[in-house]
Amino acid sequence: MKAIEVKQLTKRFGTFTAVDHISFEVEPGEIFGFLGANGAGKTTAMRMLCGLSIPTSGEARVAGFDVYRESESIKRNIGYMSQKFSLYGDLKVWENIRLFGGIYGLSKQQLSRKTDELLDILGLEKERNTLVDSLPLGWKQKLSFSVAIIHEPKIVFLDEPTGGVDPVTRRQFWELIYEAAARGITVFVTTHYMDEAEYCNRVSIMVDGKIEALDSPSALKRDFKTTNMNQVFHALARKATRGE
Amino acid sequence: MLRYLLEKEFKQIRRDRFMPKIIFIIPIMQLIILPFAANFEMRNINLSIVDNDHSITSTQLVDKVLSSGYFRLTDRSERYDEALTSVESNESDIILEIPSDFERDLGKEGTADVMIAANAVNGTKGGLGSSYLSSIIQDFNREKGFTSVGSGRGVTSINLFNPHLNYKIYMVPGIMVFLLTIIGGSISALNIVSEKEKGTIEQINVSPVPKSLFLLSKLIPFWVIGFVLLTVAILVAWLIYGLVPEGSFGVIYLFAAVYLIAFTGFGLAISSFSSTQQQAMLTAFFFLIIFALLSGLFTPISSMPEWAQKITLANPVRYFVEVMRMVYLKGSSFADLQGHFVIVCLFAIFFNLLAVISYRKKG
Repeated sequence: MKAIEVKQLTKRFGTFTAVDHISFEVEPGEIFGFLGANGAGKTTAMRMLCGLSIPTSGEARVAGFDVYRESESIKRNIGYMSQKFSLYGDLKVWENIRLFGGIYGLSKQQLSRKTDELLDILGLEKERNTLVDSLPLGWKQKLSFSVAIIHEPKIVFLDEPTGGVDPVTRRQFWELIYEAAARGITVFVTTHYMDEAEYCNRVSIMVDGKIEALDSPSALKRDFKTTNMNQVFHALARKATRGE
Repeated sequence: MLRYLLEKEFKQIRRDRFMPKIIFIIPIMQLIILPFAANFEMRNINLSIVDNDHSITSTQLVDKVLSSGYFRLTDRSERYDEALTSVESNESDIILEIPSDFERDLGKEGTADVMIAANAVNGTKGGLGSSYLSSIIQDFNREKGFTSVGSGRGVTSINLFNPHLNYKIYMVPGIMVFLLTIIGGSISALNIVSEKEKGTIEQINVSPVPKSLFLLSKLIPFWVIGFVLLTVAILVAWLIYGLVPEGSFGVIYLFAAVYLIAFTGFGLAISSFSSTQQQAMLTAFFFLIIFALLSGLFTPISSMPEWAQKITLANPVRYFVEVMRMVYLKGSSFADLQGHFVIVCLFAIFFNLLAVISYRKKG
């Protein structure tokens, strides 16, 4: 079974077609990069896959569940980290872990074990009782990711998870992503950083609501006869007619 | 699931610097200030006296009127015309004219006339003033054993449940209702919208938490806060005004329970239609002001125009104000208020259904 299967998925807002008949598949355990300029339709597509928004037409199955009829089952099997930082800033680090663990039905023992484990991996033991608002952004993002996969979902959706984060922290963040993928969690990630695109198994590039290219980074570079993803992206994004 | 969500809400409310102030300081301030500000009792009515008699009895009558505390003497005129001038220049509101044979007539015939002329430009002041004045004169009658001074044959009304027409006692139960309305109706709306603004609501939306459970986790804390607030208000009313309900606390809390559910539902519905806190605040206040003005809290419903009276039937605040006044002043029991209870329940169901449906739709 594929982790994600999308056929001719479309979303219109009035006369504006945000996502225009996109089709792709994501294998279990894969790190799938979902690239595109601002306004290309990445976030809209991702929101449909997470059950946050209902498609206008087309088909999509996430973790084997249909996005129209089984969005509640999808929600139990995915993790999501939005563009906006979305842990509770007025709760302490352990309280956020407890809240989201609890929501996903972890037992008491699992909760306390997970909390210790997670704080240990992130090196946040000392910050256990710190309000999340007072953590530096990079730490917040790492914590946010760890909380998004606290229930060991089949798939995790990351919407520009490293926006505004320094290169060292970005590097650490990607190590967390690799660890998750190694455990079998499928990672679906959007990003603006082309060096990050290189870390993905495969990437798709969206332009004006359509997927213009989809392959492994090395194959894409070969097709576009270049040595870096930046140039691949520029070659495609130049065709874009709609701005932000 | 609900347990974790509630834990989160209470922690957040406790940490919010603004919340405790809203819950404790605002109600106390409102209960202390509003009854005085919204007091319809008239004091300092400006009075002109024309005493043509200059006798002991007439002086006694004037002293009695002035010592009542309701009137302020603006001038003593020799002639009615002069007094009228001061009314025309808006210096006085009421003229009391005592005829020259006042004492003699009283002594001889046991009855005498005085004239009260009220300036009706300010209708309330004039009307209330002349009725105060005639009741003082009647008092004077009784003391002196006269059968009648002035027009003693007028209609008198006795206020059965608030014999001294103390407006504070009348206002306080209504203000309690208003407090619960604000907490339920606007603070809950702000709370959800702030989650929208911060983006945290997205994280909940992608989780398996059902919408109705999320709404419930917002409703319950405000319900509890409402009870705390009501208890604080009841204590304040007792400590400051010595006001204790004639009826049972059980009835008050039962109604408050349903009423809070209704207004929290109202707040939640508003929050589903707003994307910023300003929007939510303004929308909530648009309705809350209408609800307050048409509730009978500040102005009696019976003196509103016909069409406005009809609108008040669709106003949940109206029913709870009536209930609180009836329980506080009249000691009404649940049996007297069954009709009100059904209506408040219907409002609770209506607002909460609206909230759940609108949240479902927005996805």
